[in-house]
Amino acid sequence: MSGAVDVRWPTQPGVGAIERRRRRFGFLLTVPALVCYLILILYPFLSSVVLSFFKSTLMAPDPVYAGFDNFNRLFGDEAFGKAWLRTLVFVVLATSLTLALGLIWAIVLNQGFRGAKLLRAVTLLPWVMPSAVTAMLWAWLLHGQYGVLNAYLGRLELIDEPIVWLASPIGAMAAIILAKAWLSTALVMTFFLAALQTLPMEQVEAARLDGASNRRVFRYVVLPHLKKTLVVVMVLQAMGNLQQIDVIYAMTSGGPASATSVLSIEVYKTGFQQWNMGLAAAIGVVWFFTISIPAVIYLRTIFRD
Amino acid sequence: MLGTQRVVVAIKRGIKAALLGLSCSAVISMADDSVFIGWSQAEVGLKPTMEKIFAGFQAANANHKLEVVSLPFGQIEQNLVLRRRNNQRMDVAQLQERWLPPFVKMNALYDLNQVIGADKLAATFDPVMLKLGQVDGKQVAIPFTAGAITLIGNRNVLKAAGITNPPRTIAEFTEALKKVKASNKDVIPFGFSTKGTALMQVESTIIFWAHGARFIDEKGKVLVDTPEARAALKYLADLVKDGLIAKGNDRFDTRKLYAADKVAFFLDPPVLRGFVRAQSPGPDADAKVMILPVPTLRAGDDPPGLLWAHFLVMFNHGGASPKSDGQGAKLLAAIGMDVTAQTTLWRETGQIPTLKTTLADARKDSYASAFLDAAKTARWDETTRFANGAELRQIIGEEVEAAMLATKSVDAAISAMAKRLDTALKDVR
Repeated sequence: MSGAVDVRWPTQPGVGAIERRRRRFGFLLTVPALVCYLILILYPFLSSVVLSFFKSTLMAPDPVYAGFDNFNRLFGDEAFGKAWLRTLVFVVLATSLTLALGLIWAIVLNQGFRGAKLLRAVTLLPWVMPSAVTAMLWAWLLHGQYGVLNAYLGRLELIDEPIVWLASPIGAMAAIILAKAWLSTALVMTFFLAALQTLPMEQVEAARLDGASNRRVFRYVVLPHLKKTLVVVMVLQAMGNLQQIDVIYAMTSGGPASATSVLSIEVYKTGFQQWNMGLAAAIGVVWFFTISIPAVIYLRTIFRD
Repeated sequence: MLGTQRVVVAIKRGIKAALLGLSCSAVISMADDSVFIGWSQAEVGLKPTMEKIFAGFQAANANHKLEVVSLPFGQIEQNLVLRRRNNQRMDVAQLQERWLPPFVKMNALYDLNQVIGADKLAATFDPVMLKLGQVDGKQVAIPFTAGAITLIGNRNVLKAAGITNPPRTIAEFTEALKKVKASNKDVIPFGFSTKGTALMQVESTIIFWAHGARFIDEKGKVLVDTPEARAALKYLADLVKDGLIAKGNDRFDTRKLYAADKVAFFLDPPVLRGFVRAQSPGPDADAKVMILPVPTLRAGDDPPGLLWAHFLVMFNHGGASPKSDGQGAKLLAAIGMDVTAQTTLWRETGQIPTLKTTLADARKDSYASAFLDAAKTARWDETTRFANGAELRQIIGEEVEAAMLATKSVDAAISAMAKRLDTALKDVR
């Protein structure tokens, strides 16, 4: 339409047909993945959205249309509001801690000292462990009566009585944040390390020649170079933390007293303990829209680049 | 065109092969095996004995494959409901008494009078025990074991604390707890569950009843918003505050600590013996176990207890009732109606039997007779009769937990409990 030649559509007769066949063939190759996506992701998702407008419980498993009743109940429930805020607290703190630890460790490993490669390999171990196993290990470490941490603190005479870390709301939240950060730091470190290794050393040397301290080099040379990686990693971590259920459920089951009951736990409890499937689907819809926020940021970032 | 056609044909063949494989495996699965789902075979105290029973059944039915699905106690109800709703194969399952109503409402259980025969059941089981598994005149379950949840004392710990007489009233009980704490700060005076709302609900029910409080009446009217309930919850919260109940333990943790003489009192059903034997060092594990009545407000009141029973059921997958000589019925009989199996379970784990002959034998033992005496004044959990009992129990457990861990005041917890129970019971009243 602008007068420019579209090189994808040659003008020779018969060649357009070949191109269409290639495209059709290419599309057919994606059909298995598309079928899996439709069956395993899109259909369950749409079913959940539809179910959120119905009343479906253990006593009345055949769904009855309820309009926005489930959503009204959710938004009128103070407990749900608290669960949403708790989710936000968990995501912000877990993401921040993971990014900080990952970045620090990447900078350390990037120094290239002897044994750095071995350390890098060892750092990846938490990442390959199943998250439920990690959660159980942390729960055991922090157990009030026979946990390893209390045993060592007691021997060092730093505490008089065992501390029941998972029995206080703040302790339990800190524990799950720590466990999740421990699990995810390896992956974040890998991203940052890869980015650091593309940092032009001439810029660092030039800055040092100009008298810049370590802090200034980090702030004005390293950080700007890592900016894109930081955004992508931060958004991916936030999305992952928003979906987190296994570590939290295995460590605290959402307790004590719902102190670690985030949206994923609320969906599970409402759907599979209270058997209120319609309400659980409504929580799921709210959860989806919450996750969509960082997802949109992520997609815009990568497509812009 | 040729390449495209090949891809389309390959996709169609792939889908056909997958569907054929799935249908074949389903047919094979339906014809030649039985599925048992339960939790006892996964618990340390009962595992060896249950495995012997399954091995015996498999040896006697060599052409028949038995699939045993073991799940943790806290996951059983959910898994059974999900499997039932998805029509997954389940032949015989172990249920607790509180899980019967939702499955009865779903019409998910066979009337065992039709499968085994009413006469045979009446001839085999103790009549009181057999009645526990009846709902609306149908025998929906056979009793696997029954008794009551009552107070357990640790003879070694109490002796070391200088406590010679078991406490009868709540005031005496509190004094005993303080004495234990003063004698040894490493011992937990009262091993009340403070982790996991399911167990907290069970154990708090007994304490509430001891204070004269109730939760719900038979018609679904909420009764918990009373001074008695507030007194009961305040009692528990104060015990936590004073360090007489430890935070962060559930009953499974407490059993381990009890076996290691680190707990003075706790609440448990008769299966305790298996755990104590499995987890106690030394040969005299049984000697430390004291079965005590739950303390009451006033001396002479009937001690409360929670009626407790495990049942065996057969799941209804539609169609006619299974035959009494079918594999499902044989499996049920092998686990729940076999004298040898019941005697082994009783002798090795303390699980109180329900058959006429084995129960008569067990009554001669002081351990069993103490639990059976406790059952005389015990009651069913007030949430058991409701199909949404799981939701009601979760509400009670959460609010009790909040008050005991001081994230809510006692008043706020009781008020919230009453309001939430009322909302949940609206549809069932």
